[in-house]
Amino acid sequence: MSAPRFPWDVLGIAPTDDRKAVRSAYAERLKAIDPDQDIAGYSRLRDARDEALWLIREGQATGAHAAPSESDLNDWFAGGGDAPGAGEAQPDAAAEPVPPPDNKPADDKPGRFIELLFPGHEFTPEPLTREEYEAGADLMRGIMADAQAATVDRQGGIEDWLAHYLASSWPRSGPLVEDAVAAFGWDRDTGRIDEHAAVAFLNARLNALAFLRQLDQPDHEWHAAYVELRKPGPRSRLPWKGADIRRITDLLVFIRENYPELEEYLDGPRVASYTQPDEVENPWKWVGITVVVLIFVARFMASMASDTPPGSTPPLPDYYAAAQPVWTTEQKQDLLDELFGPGVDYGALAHDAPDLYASIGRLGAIDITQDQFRDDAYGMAHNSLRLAILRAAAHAPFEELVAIRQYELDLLRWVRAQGNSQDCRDIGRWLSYPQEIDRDADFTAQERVLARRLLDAGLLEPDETPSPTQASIPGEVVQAMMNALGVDRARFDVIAAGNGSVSDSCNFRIALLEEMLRRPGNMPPELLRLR
Amino acid sequence: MLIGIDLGTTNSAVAVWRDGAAELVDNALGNPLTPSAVSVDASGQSWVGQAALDRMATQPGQTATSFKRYIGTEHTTALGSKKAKWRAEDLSAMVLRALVDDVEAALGERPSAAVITVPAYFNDKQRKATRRAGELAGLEVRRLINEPTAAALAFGLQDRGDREPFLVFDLGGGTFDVSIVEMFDGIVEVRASAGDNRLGGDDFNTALIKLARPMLGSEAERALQHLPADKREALLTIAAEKCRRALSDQGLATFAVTLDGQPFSAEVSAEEFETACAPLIARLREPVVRAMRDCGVSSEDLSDIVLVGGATRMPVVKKAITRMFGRFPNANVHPDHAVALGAASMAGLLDSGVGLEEIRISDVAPFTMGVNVAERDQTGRIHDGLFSPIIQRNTPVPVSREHSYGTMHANQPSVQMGIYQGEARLVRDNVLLGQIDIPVPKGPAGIEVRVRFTYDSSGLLEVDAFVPESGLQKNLVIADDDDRKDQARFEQRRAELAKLKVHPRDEAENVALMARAERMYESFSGQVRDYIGQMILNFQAVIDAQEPRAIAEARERFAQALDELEGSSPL
Repeated sequence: MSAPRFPWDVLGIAPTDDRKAVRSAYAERLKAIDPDQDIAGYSRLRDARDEALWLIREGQATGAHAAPSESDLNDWFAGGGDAPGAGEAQPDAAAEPVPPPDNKPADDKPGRFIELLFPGHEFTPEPLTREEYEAGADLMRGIMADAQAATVDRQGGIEDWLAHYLASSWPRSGPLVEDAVAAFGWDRDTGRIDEHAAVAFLNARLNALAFLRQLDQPDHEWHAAYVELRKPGPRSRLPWKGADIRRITDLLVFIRENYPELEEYLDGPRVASYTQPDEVENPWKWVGITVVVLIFVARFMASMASDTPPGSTPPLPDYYAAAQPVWTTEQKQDLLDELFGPGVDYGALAHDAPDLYASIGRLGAIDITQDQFRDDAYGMAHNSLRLAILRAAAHAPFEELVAIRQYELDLLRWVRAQGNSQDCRDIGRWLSYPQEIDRDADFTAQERVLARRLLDAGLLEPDETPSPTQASIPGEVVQAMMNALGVDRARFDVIAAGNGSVSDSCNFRIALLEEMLRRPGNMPPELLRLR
Repeated sequence: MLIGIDLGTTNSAVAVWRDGAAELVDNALGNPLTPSAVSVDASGQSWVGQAALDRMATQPGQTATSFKRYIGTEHTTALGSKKAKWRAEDLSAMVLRALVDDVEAALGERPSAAVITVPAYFNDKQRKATRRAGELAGLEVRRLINEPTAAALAFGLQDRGDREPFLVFDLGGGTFDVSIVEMFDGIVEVRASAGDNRLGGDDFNTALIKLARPMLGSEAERALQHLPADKREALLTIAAEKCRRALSDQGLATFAVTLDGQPFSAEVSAEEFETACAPLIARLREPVVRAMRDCGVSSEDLSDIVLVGGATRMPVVKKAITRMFGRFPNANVHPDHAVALGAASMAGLLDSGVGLEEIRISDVAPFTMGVNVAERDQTGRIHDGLFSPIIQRNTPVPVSREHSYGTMHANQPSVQMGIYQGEARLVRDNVLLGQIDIPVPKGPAGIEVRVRFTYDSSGLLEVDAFVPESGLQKNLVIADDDDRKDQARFEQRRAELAKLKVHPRDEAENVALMARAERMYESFSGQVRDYIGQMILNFQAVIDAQEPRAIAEARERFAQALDELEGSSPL
C-alpha cells in the first residue's frame, strides 16, 4: 500500500490495526485544542478518527458478542439464578419468545415470501389469488413474529426488508400492505425527513385506497363525479346528462395532485372528454394514463435503487442473508476491473477516492450470487462512478475537463437516442441511468479508460471546490445553439432559465456541449465547469 | 460552590462534589429525592416536595405536579389566590429554591451557581426556560447538560476504565431519552441521542387508569363524574401510581379510590397491565433504533445497557429492554440517583476540576436544524414550506455546515428564510427558531445564496448568509428574545415568588406529616377515618403547645400509626 495516509497524518501516528492506539491519539489531540475556537480542526480530527477506525474494521472480521443463551433468559424470567437486577424476578417461567441465535431457519420464510411476490423472480402487476394472499399473509405473520422476538436492530432490519419488497412488488402486494402497515405502525412515522422511502411509498398507496373507499360512499361530495367518470366511453353531449362540471374538475385536480395512480380507476376516454371537450376523441389517451402509472412505479423503483444514502436496497439482516453475506476478494476485484479496467486494487481506491470507496463498500451486503441483485449492485457502482466523474469537472485541469465534457456528451446522446429525454435532462441531478447502458460494451470501454485516467490523476478524490452555478454563454455560441435547436431568442432564454420542456432541456444541454467542444480553448472556464 | 441538580418530572435531586466523589444531599425529611410538586394556598402559603404531593389528593386545585411537561410553553396553572398564574418555569424555580435551601442546611454555605440537567431531546425553548427557572431561584446556571450524558458520567466514572459504546436508557416520569456514549482516555463522547418528549411513567399511569377505572363499577363511575375534574384526575393518578409500584413487586395489585367516604377497588394483574401497556412499549423502540442507526452501532456492539429513571423498574419495561438488546441491562447504577450524581461530577469538573483529571465531554446535536425552502417538482408545480436540513441530528458538536440555495423566481428582491429545528418534512411541523431576511440583487432565478449554520457546544446557533453575486453578508445569532424584552417581567416574577410564604425548615417534618395525614383521612372511611381525624387534632394541639421534645415524640408516634394503617412507607 502506498505512503502517506489521510487519517494517520492528522492523528499523528503510524498506520496501525490497534483501535486503542487510534483512540488514544484522538484523545490526546482533542485535549490539545478548543473545539469551539477551531471548529474545522475539530471536524477534521473527528473525521480522521472515524476513517481510521473504519479502515481497521474493513481489514478484519467483526466479532459479535454472543447473545445470552436460551437457558439464561428463561432462568431470569423463571426467577431462578443470580441474574443482575434480581429482586424483580417473575415467579412464572414466562412463555417468552427467545431470540434465536444466528441459525439459518429450516423453513425459509423470506425466500418463499419473495417467490410469492415475484414469481420466477420477475416483476408482475398480476394481483394475488386468494390462496396466494392467504399463504402470503401467513408467511408475513411468521416473519413479523420473528421480528418481534429479535433484538431491536435486527427487528429494524427485518422491517426495512419487508417494506422494500412490499413496495417494489406493488401493486401485486396490495392486500398484504395494509396488514403490514397496521402491524408495524408505519403510518405513525409519516412526514419525517428520515422516513424510509419504501414506507412512505406504502403509506401513500394506502391513503390512496382509503380515499377511494371514501369516494364510494354516496354522501361524499365527489361521489357523483366519481361515478360519472367511471362510466365507459366519452361523455354524452346531451345537455341534461353528465354531472356537475366543477365537481368533476375538482376531483380530477385532486387525484392528479395527490394520488395520480387512482386515475387508472377512471375511464380514460371519459376523462379526456371532460378535460379536452373540443378535441376529437383519442383512444390512445387511455394508454397514456396506464403508461403514467407504470412509469410512476418504475420511477419509484429506479429512485429507490439509486438513493445515495445507505439503506436503499437495505442490507438483509443476518437471519436472511445468503450463506455468503460479504463479497469475496475476487468479487470485489471483478467489480473494480469492470469499473476501471485491470490493475486497480482496493487499497489504492481507499486512498485516492475515499468517497467512491465508501459507496462501493456499502454494496458489500448485497447477495450477488443472484443475477438480478448482481445487476443492481453493478448498476449502483456504475452510478457512483459516473457521479464522481462528473463532479471531478469542478476541479479538473483543462485537458481532463474537456475529456469529462466529451464523456458527458456521449452519455447524453446515448440516452437521448434511447428515446428517454427525462433521464437525459436529469443526468447530473439524479442518479437514474437506464441499466442498458452498462451492457453497451463500446461505451463502457471508453468509460473505463476515462475513469482510470481520472483515478490515476487523483481527480476522483473529493474536493472542496464548488462548481459554478452561473456562467454567461458567448454570443456566437448562443447563435449556433439557436440554429441547432431551431428556436428564437425568446424561447432560448426560457429554456436556459430551466423553464422549457423536458426534451427542450435535454437538447439544450447537448447543443451546449457540442458547441463548447468545437473550440474549448475559447470558452470561459466557468461555462466549461458548469453543471 | 457549584452544585448539580436533576430537575425531574416526578422527582428532583441535588448533589455536590466533595472529597473526590459526588454526594447526594438529603432534604429536610431525610430523603435524597424531593418530589417535583408545588402547592400554594389562598393565603400565599406554599409547600414543596412530599408535602405538596400529598396535598394533591386533598387540594388538587392548589397543587401542581409533572409541570416539566409544560416548560418552554405558555401553559399556566392557577394556584393560590386565583389571580396568580404560574408558568412551569416558575414552579420549577420553587422546587429549585427548596433544593438550594437543603444544601445550605447540610453544608452551611448557600450555593450560588449550579449545573442543571435537561432531557437530551429538549428543544431550544425548553432549555432556555429551564435556565430561567434557575435564575428565578437565584442560581447562576453555569451549564445545562443532557440527562443521559450526566448518567453516563456517573456510570463511567465508577471505575475509570475505558468503555466500549454503551446505551443509556432513561425513562423518567415524563420524558424518554436514549443516548449511546463511549468513554476512553478521559473523553466522554456521545455518539447519538434520541428520545420522546411525551413518553414517561405518567403515561403508564394513564394506561393503568384506563384499564382499571371501568373495573371499579358503575357506582364508582357515577361518584367520579360528580367530582370536579382536577380532583378526579388527582385521585385516579394517585391510585394508579400506588398500584403500579405494587405491580413491580407482585403479580397482583389493588387499584383503590375512596369517594364520598366509600372505598372502591379493583384487582389488576401484571399480565393485564402488560397488555394495556403494549402500545407504550412499542413507542420505546423507535428512539432506540434511531439512535443506533444514526451512529452505526448495532446491538452486538453495545457493551452495557444502563437504566436510568424510576420507570425502568417496571418489569414490563425491563422485559422489553432485555428483548430489544438480547441481554440483561446493567444494574450498577441507581436509576433515581445517577443523573444528579452525574450533574455534580460535571459541576466538579467545571469548578476548576478539583479532584478530577481532565475529562472532555463531546456531545451531539440532538435535533436537525435547517431552513424552509420551496421546490419545483417534475410537473413544474411549486411546493412551499419544505424543510431543508443543514445540520443533521446527531452530528458531533461543535459543527459548522454550509448549504447553497438559489432564488426561485426572476427578479426576486429578497430571500426570507425561517430557521427551524425538528425532524418533520414540512416546516409547519417543526419549531421555528428565528428568521433572516436576505436581500438579493436583481437577476434571473437561481441566484446563489449560501447559508452557514454554526452550532457550538453550549447550544448557541449562529446563522451566516452570503450572496456571492453581490458580496452581501448577513449574520443572525439565535438568542433568547424573551429575556431581553422582558427584563422587567422577570424581576416582577422573581418578586412574586419571593412573596410566597415558606415553612421554616425545622417545621418541615411536621408539615409533611400533616399533609400525609390529611391525604389518608380522605382515602379511608368510616371508623378508621374518624380515628385519623382524632390523631390530627391531637397532633395539632401538641404543635400549638410548642414544646420541642413533646412535638418530636408525638411526631414519632403519629408517623408510626400512619405507617401501620398504610401498610407501607409513603414513598
